[in-house]
Amino acid sequence: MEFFFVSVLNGLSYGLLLFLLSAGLTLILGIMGVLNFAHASFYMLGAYLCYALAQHWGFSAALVLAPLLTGLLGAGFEHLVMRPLHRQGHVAELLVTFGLSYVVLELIQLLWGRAPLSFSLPQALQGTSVWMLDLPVSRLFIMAVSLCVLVALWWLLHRTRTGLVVQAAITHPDMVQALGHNVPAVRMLVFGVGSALAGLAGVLAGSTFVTEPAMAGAMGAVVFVVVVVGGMGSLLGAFVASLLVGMLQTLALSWDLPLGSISSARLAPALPFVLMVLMLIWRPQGLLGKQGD
Amino acid sequence: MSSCALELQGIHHRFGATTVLAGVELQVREGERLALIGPNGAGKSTLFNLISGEMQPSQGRIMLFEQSLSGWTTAQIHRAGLARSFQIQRLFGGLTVSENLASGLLWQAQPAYRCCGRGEQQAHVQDQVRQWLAKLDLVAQAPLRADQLNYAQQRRLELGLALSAARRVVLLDEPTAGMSRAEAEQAVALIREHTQGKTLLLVEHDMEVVFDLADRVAVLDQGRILACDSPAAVRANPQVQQAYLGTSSFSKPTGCAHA
Amino acid sequence: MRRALFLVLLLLLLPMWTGQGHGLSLLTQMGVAAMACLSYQWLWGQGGMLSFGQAVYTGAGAYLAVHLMRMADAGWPVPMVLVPLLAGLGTAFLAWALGGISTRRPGAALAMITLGLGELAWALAPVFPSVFGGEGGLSADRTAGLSLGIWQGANPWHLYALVCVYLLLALWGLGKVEHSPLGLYVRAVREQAGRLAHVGPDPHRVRWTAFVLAGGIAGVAGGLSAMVFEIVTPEAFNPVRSGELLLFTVLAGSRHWAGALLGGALTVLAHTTLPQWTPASGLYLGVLFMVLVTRAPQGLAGLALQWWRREPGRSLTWPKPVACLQAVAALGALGFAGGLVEMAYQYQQLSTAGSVMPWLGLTLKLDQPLHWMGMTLAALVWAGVWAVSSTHRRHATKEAQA
Repeated sequence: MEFFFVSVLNGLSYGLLLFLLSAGLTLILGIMGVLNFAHASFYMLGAYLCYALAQHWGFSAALVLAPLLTGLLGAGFEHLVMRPLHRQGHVAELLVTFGLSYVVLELIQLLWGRAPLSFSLPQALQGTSVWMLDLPVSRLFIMAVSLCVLVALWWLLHRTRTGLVVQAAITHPDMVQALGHNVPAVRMLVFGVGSALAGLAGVLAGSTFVTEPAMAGAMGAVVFVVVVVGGMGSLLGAFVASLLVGMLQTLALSWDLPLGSISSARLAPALPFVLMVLMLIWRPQGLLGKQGD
Repeated sequence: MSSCALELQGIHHRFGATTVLAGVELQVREGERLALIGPNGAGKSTLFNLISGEMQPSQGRIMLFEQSLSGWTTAQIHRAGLARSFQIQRLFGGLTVSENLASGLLWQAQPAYRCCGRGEQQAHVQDQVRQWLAKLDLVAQAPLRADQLNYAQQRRLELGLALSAARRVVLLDEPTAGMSRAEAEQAVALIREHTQGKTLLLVEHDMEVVFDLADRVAVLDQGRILACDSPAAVRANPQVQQAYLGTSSFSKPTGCAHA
Repeated sequence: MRRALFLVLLLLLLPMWTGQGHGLSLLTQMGVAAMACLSYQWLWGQGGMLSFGQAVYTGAGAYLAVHLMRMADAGWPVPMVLVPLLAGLGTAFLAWALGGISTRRPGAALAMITLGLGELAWALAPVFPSVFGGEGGLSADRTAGLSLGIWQGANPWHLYALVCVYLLLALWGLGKVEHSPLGLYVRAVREQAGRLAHVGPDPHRVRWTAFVLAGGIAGVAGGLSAMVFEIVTPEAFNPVRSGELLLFTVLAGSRHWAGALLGGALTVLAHTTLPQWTPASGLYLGVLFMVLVTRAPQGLAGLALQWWRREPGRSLTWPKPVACLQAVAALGALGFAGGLVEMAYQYQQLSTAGSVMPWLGLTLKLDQPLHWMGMTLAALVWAGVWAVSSTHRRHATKEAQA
């Protein structure tokens, strides 16, 4: 019974982590129309920056500073590299983010080496909590932080003027610019916020799971699956898909059901992609995407 | 009695909560030239998009030669004989002008995805391309890329693509937009020549072109057909005058069927 | 015709220059990599489809070839020279099966779907060791099977010749398709998919067909690589391979087949020779890629062809002093920045590589902070000079035009 609850909690926390990542990607895709291939690189950068900052200023400071720093780097990249490319179209922008993912990987390996870093949460967040059964505190922490951030994001988007402008700029950038808003600044802001969200996800994942150069590649593909399954451009779709993929993968791994001669644990890495293929055959626009998208 | 080439039955279309078309009824006779006019935002481009298969109507049916187009893709609609031009030209920018024209003509010569191509077929198509280049006054521009042309040349190419690709029904979306008087007259002559025996549905703001070309004129306002009659009658219609000059609070929607 | 002769000559002369042994082996590998780049160039350069999962098809071709070779070893009459072709046909079938969902929507959707399918193959391969051979992979022997009197698997010259023949056939075949109606439709779908249906062809069908063709060629490349290396492991499906294929094809230039050849050469060099010169080769390639994508989308081969085809009669005049300064400053900045990067890489290996690094005539000591600061300062100064001189040149050009 306990095992069931722990598995579900793990699945939910992983799903929320995925949503932190895919929400940022969906926002960036919406406002810039371009797939940010380096999104997972900012995720990885957040983890490594947290490691570096935590060594000098402790985990709590790093938890706040690392995502901020990642967001600033993202905004800077958008301003310096992507803005001049905007004229050349979406393809050039996509390729340059692909190049960035390559460069970030090399830089991280240069600065921190190729081996996984031993980086763990402070004592207070390890172990299991006695309240609500024996649930790992780290997972509860991930869920708590993710939910807070996502509620804040929803509030920003739907209850503030800047949020309204962002929503409008996602679908009608030219009109919004004609009305006097600074759309390039909005783009930079959204890219920065998206990267900061990715960085935060990296902080949470890096401290709870593992911090290594391969983490970007592993997570990046799953985030794309979430966006395709949820429907490109739909935040709610990304939410549903993140939880779905998170639960599916975690439960397959922890329950280890035998399927013929293969156990579900061995199939677990492939499951998100199987889901994606099935979704593409059955409903190509995703769960909540627009038809003809 | 000539048959009905294109028929719109009770077309409603919504984008989210906004209704763009509120019950459009239209019948276009085969071989007829019908002009669609109306203020901006009336729904003319949306109507074109629905007919050419870019979107499916929220409600209602579109019939092409007595066949319902419900669920048809654009390629299927083209095979039935319909082609269109675009208000903002959609040319194959990186291809040369000749290649732009060849793309449609090759398909008409043989509608197959052939991967070996030299031979008589292609020579015949190249002849047709040369003819069209001459008609569009783009002979000198043939080896240039389509995105290297100036605006007027691009509009001519856009018109040429639509006229050469249409076997039975042509939809033209503001073909003379941005053209000078002389250019517009040339375009009208070209349109008249190449829509002989074909059906034409034309969206235009230039009233001289409309009265020059059209057999009948339909007026679209706020998603409904306001009037559909000969050009002179439409000009004299008080409701039409009101729609263009001010707000029309009671406009009784009428259908547009041929006599 | 002239270009074809030139290419055949090149393929004949190169191995004479490198001789048998390591050089010939590198050339053979380059030919195989060039075939893979050719499939990507067709897909992306002609069809405008940016696939992030082409390794599925090169890997599938390799596995099909290995299984065929193993069958030949077990006694089946399989002609060795046809193994890559058979692998290609089988892979084309796979591309047909997967192409429907891959090509329905172009652009970002296609990129993500191909990425997902690539990851799926990569995740599934270790699960079926009977087909994919587990972590160790499957090995084969190219000397087995029907030789048809002409094929000697053990002879490296025969292997090189086989690769060349397939490469020439692929180039000839793709050239034929490019000039056919299908080729025109494929280029049109790249330019303006939203128009193509209105003139006749269905864009999805066109993309699908191009995808199948590219998959087939990738399968041939995979089959050739299986014959060259005589082993294939699930690493063949690693998404890193897909990424590298994209990187080198775009870097080399995707509009002309010369780009495919250059891409193949670069791929092999980047894996064998470049890492020996500098541990920072990956970083340099990534930065070069980003620079080319932003400034010169036609790639290295494209740049070379542009220079080759430039208008004759533009006489060589002495460049203006500002242009000279700009070039020197650029070189200086790059030199010092490169030095810093190399220092950083060597610093990681301090225990094994020592703390002294020779660089462009200077002897740098990695344990002296002063050396680090000096290099940084020098790089910044030269970068500043370059920035000032390029701004000056830009203003001068604007004034001249006004």
